[in-house]
Amino acid sequence: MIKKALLKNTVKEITNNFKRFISILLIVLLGVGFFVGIKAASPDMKLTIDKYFDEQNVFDIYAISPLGFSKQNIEELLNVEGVAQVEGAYSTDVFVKANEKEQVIKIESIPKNINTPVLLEGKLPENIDECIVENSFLVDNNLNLGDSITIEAGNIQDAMGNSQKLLKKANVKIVGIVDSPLYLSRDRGTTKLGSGKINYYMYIPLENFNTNIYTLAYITVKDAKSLKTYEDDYENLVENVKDAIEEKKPEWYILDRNQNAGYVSYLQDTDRIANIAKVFPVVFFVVAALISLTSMNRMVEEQRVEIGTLKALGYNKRQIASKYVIYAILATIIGGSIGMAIGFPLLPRIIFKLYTMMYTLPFIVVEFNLKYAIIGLAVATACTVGATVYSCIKSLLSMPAKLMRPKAPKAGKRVILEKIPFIWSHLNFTRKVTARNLFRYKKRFLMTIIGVAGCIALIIAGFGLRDAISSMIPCQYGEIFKYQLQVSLKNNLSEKEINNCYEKVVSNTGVKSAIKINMQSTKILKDDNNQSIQLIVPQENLDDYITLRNRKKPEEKYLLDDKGIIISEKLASLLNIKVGDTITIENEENEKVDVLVSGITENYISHYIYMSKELYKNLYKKEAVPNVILAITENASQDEEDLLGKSILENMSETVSSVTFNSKVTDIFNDVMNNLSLVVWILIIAAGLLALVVLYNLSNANITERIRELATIKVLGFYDKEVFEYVAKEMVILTVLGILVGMVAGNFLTTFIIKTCELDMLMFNPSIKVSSYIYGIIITLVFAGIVNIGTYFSLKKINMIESLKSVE
Amino acid sequence: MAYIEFKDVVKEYKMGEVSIKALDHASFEIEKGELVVIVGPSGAGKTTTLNILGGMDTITSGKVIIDKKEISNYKQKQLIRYRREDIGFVFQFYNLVQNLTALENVELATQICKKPLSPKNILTKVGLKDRMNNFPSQLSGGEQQRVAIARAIAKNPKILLCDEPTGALDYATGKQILELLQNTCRKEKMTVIIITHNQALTPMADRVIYFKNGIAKQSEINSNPTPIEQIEW
Repeated sequence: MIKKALLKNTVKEITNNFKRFISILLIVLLGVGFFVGIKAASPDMKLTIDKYFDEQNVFDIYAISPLGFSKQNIEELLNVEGVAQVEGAYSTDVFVKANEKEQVIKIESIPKNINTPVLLEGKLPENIDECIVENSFLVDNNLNLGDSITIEAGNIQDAMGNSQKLLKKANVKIVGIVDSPLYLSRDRGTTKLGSGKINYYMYIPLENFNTNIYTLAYITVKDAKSLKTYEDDYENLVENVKDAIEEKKPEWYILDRNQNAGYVSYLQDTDRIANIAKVFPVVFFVVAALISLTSMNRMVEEQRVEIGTLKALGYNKRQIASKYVIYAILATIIGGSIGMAIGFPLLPRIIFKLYTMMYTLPFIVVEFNLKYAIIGLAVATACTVGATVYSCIKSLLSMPAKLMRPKAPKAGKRVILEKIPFIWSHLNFTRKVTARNLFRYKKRFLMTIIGVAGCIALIIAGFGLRDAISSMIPCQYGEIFKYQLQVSLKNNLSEKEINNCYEKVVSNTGVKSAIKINMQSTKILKDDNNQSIQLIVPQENLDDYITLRNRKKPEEKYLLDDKGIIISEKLASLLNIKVGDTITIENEENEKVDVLVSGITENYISHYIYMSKELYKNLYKKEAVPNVILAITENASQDEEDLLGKSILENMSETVSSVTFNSKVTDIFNDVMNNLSLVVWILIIAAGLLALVVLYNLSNANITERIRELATIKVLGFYDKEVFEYVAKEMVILTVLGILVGMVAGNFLTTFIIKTCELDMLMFNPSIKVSSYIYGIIITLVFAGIVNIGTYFSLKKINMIESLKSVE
Repeated sequence: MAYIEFKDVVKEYKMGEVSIKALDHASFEIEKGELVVIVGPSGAGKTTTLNILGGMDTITSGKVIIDKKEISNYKQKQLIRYRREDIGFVFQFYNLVQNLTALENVELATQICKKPLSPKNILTKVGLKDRMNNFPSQLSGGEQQRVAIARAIAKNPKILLCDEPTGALDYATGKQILELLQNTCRKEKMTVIIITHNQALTPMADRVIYFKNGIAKQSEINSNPTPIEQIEW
């Protein structure tokens, strides 16, 4: 039972020691805010995908069959136990011509119930000669709603074996823009057409297809929506229904959401964030505990006499301690609540925003996560209350009379440096004093270094992350890929046509030189990976177009030979492949070959395998027929590039399917950079607050602990500036030490963040720029400077007479 | 004109709505080289007087002139310089810097002075030749006060101000400290002002100033001061 007077005393303590209260509150706010925000990000993102899939009624199971599905098949599926809905769909890969440019597009029939796309603009098709597309298709091809495009769908064989056109209407009008829940990531999958990659997806009415046999059957499972798609319960439920279908139709392939690449990599990425969430908050909690420890230690020390008096009056230990414990708990609860109010909605949104650069999701679900709220508050309370009890315990165990006597000041001691006369005798007086003090207050020594180091490490991590990502594009599209233009050829051209085409490309005035290559999708059969990889087989020396080199030794260039292949760096690290390993690769025709890895090359975006044409011939017993021309162009403006592209497409419409400039790719990533600077700012603000709270606290503790000493030197006639220097020298040395430690820590932290958050298809440039270190130092010094200005005025305000009156 | 002139000094402290007059028109004079004892009960205004003489506090009205300079007009910075160059201060609780050795505590003072005396010589004079390299916690109370006195003297100040210098010491040690102060006054020709509540000490002084209720009640010249060893209390 807390006595009323004691409670009053506690409340008063908060107003009396408001700065101390605020500093505990602030560090708890930071700790809890960061903890809950980062922890909640991963569950929030998972909830988001679940809600999105529920709203768009995304399939739980889908079936594919070489023979397709008849209307009767669909009926049969509906009768399988556990199946809720079934919808047949038609899907195929085609070339689409838009503005003279040809690209590979996956066209699908517009779903009625399952996998409904989200309409962003325009309307859904009402006639069979209308279509809906994804936004990037319009943007990349300078198209608008209302424009028409031509689908080169070719023919199919009907039931009678007669060849007929696949589509009733090949010329279709774009009437709407949609997001498909089936394509979460930017990856659109692979195809046998063109250079092997699907560029976009598109929907046309089912009625436009000249067939009544579906290629796909999408199935939803009863009661699956009430479960979370990422949990085991859901998996089990779906698995049961899958088994039931397989029993009936053993010739079909029965698949589920785990075969959707975008969905799988999205869930993997949420786990990555959960990994970061394991490490980051620990730093803040450790600092929170240390801050509470110094603060409460000071407070209890200052109130020795009061504690003694209360004990003498007959209050018991628990009652006396409760005052300090309540003080700490109040600071923790208020700070923690504000932290949660900020952390829960803000951090998941920011992290989500970063990830939506790579994923298409229309909204985010942010929830108050009770589990993490409780854990966050509990850990913070344990830190602060633990520190408080630890601080109280010694005083509480002392006899009242002892408490009311002045505490013997901490004795001076020789420091280790004095045993080295060579150094000690060369120090002047003030330096000797500084050295002694540094060694004397070890707790403060460590905390200042940790605080400053934490601050600078966070700032370096912020800038380092920006460096890592911003330098990725210029490296990939400047140093690695030295060509500017990629011309994709149509399938099945004769050697003569290809050579003709090559001559024509080179003869353009804007083109300096060009090289023919074969490019196709491939897979590495190792572990359980689904990385999509481009195999590149050049016809001539690749060196002028693509640099193959060791990132750590850029002067070490690789040449392709007939012994082994060269694979890109991220691919090697993902699949743990080393030079000298033999791997199995499989092409689109399911031909598998074993091949030696003879080099690992610097590469930042996507995965590549490079192979000489001689080796290709040895392995596959056939020529690598060129299907892509890479060209180096004169320095060209955007308009000149557009003109060149158009002229190639118009003049060579018989042989060229598409033209891509690397400058287009670069544009996409500029958005990424804008979002990233937000992260940098958050890290800097968090770092700054951390540094301010820690340094302010320590400086405050330093002054109150040494108030008699400082008052004495003021009486001796030290000027304000000299008094400040007397104290600040230690702070400066500790700050410098903290900066040095922080630079090393910042390097590790950056590497850690990069490794945990980079996506599989990307490799961030892990080298941190010198300027980032310099920014980190400058910003840390500014924060340290602000605290020092505060210190200067606190020192000026010390009242000599009061401080020296009696022993406190 | 006397060396130290304290003229009609009022010192008012405002405590919320109430104002307390610590000094209420106090006046006295002190000549150069005198050993002065200021006595009076607690709350009489002795310490306030000493703080004002030491440049540690300002006055509400009146004049304080020391060596022809009106220090009561001094600004903050001038006051600091005055403390630095003209004043040596000895406290009841010594106020040594715990983290510095005896010698270093003296050096702390001398390193900011223009014409300091050698710290080692002074420490030898106060009888701490063999204890120079000890930390305060390794010294007895009397020894610590000797270090404090050495620190004050080493600055070579015009005036040595001592606030209850024996207050925390036992009888014999206190006596030794007073002897040291008396000797310092005589040999170094330094003006020494000692505050005490102990009436028995008055015979040792050249001049005794009695304080009561914020006023210097009377100021006596003692033409024949008694050496401290002959005083018993």
